[in-house]
Amino acid sequence: MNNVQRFFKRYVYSSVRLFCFFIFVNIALFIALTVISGSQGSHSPTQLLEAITEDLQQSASSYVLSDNTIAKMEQENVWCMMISNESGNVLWNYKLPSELPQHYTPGDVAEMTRWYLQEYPVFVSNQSDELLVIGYPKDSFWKISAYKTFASIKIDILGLVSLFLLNIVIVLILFVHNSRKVEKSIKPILTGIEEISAGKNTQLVEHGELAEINTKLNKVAITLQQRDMARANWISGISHDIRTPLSMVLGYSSSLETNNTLNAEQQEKVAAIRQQAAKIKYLIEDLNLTAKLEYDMQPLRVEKIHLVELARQVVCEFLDSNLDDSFSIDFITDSDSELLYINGDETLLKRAITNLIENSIGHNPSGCEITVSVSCNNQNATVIIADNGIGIPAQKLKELNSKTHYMESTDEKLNLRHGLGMLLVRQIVDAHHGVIKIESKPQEGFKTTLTFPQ
Amino acid sequence: MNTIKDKTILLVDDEPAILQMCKSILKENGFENILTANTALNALEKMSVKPDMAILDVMLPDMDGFTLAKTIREQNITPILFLTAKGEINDKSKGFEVGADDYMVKPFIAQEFVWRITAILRRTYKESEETSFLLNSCKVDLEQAEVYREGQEPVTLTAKEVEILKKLYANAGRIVTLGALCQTVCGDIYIGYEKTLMSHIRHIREKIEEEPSSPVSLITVKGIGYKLVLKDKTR
Repeated sequence: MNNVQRFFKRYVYSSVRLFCFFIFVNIALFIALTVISGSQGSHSPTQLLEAITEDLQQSASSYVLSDNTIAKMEQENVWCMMISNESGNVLWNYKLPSELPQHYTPGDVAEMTRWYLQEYPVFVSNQSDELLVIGYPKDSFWKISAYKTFASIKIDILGLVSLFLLNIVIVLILFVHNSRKVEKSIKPILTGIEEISAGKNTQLVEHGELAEINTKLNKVAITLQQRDMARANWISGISHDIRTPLSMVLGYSSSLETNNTLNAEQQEKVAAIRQQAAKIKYLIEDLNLTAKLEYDMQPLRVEKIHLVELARQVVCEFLDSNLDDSFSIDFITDSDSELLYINGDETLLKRAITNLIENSIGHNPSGCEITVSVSCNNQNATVIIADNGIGIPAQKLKELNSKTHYMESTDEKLNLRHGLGMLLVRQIVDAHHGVIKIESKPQEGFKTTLTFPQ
Repeated sequence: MNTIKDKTILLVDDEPAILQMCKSILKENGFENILTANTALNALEKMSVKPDMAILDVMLPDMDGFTLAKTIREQNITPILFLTAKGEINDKSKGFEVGADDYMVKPFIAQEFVWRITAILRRTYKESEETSFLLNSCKVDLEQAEVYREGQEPVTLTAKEVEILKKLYANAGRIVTLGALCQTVCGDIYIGYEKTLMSHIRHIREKIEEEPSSPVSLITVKGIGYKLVLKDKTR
């Protein structure tokens, strides 16, 4: 989930940056365009008018222009004339086209000032007694006459600015909305992938824009599930097939063990065979159960369980099973716990306690005192299996606490018995929503605390 | 003298080696009348001689053991023990559903196999059950509810004491948990019954032990339960 959010946050940031960059580039381009366009009319009519005004020298009744100004005018094909304000007659001209009249009424002047003089774009500058007119070739200028009320201009400027801002806001909103939409359709996919990688069951809805991806993801999930199932079935098949030959070994050796015709040494050997066969039996059962729990193939059979009696039965089985004299199992409980019932799977819970006691026995070949205690408080029921044996070093304790998946572990040093048995205990406790705590110090024993909600 | 050992037991398994082994274990433990069958059909034929108990495998070549058990149950009430490699809880529940008396998963230990068979036979054939047994210092007759000691008047047992002794005797040499005993005495586990149970045990000890304060026949396993030790058996 966090990943998804982080991804989209980053996506939004980068998009906003991109958007800002886009606007910046546009502004730069606009400025460049204005500059280029301006350079195209560098000899703007007003500039030329000013230049001529400054340059004009009255000599007698005529006017003279400097060569420099004339050159400028020639370059743009400009003609020019001077009209008397009083009479309206042309006093002087320079290259005045012949079709143009020599006299102008104030109406003509007003018209030409604003518009054209017989299609010639002309520009006018009022001198003290005369009117200076310059004319450009036809179709070289487009004259626009613009007038607006101040109120209207204000509205225009405000409107333009707000339109610009509004555009940005709308774009942003559309963008956020869009990415929300994408997020919405991608999120289940990402969540699905996360779930698949966590080994959970996933089924995505197969419609919408990304239906194809969902379909494929579902396919992957199903394939993985089938593979898990195949693995679990394979393990269960093997453990089943081993059972018959193992029955022979265990059955005959246990039967021989009590045969009085064997001498002590022979009986001891047979006992060893029986014990090791029993170990194989436990291992296979663990392997089978672990695979089933790992792949969610073992439904819990939850019922009301008297935890004290359950633990008692487990201890009882150990005490009845010809346990070596170097081992002792004490059972401790209190009267409150005698009334304790929890919801759980009897077989699995027994298995968990059995495995922990087995561990204590298996890891302390020279014997130890094992204590099984059941206690409770208002919320929790606690089972503690402790021994005073050789314990494990801190490093190993860390491994045991961190490696929850024995099957995925590639660590060959991890003792199989501890590993698999412990993994199963952990899985069983997890399945009961309980908590497992392992404590140990070298030479001071091994203690496992299982806490279950009541 | 041992009537239970005279019972006829039918063993059904498709694996000849397993049949052979079960047979030898049973024979070693005194069971003499043993029939074997390696198919369901064969088993049904053998049922005509009315064995006292049937031990069935689940996976048989011609029919699964559950169906076989059902078929057997339709005809008579012969106790059935499943002995199978199928150890799933679902299989077990199916086994009991079709009327099994017990269910054992392979591989198994010979002793447990014998205990379970003995327990089933005892339960089923109560009338012929051994009702008297020898302890370290006395003889107990559960039928008469009396304890006999050499050179002494017989001591009478109360009904509850007989119940408790019956339970312990059925599991002689093994621990019977407090929960199981409370259930026998009071029909339910706990809630103050433990004290009642303890007083019953004390009374029993006074009757059967030479020194009730240091018992040798009815042994306490602290926190767990009690164990009855028979005279000629050391287990």
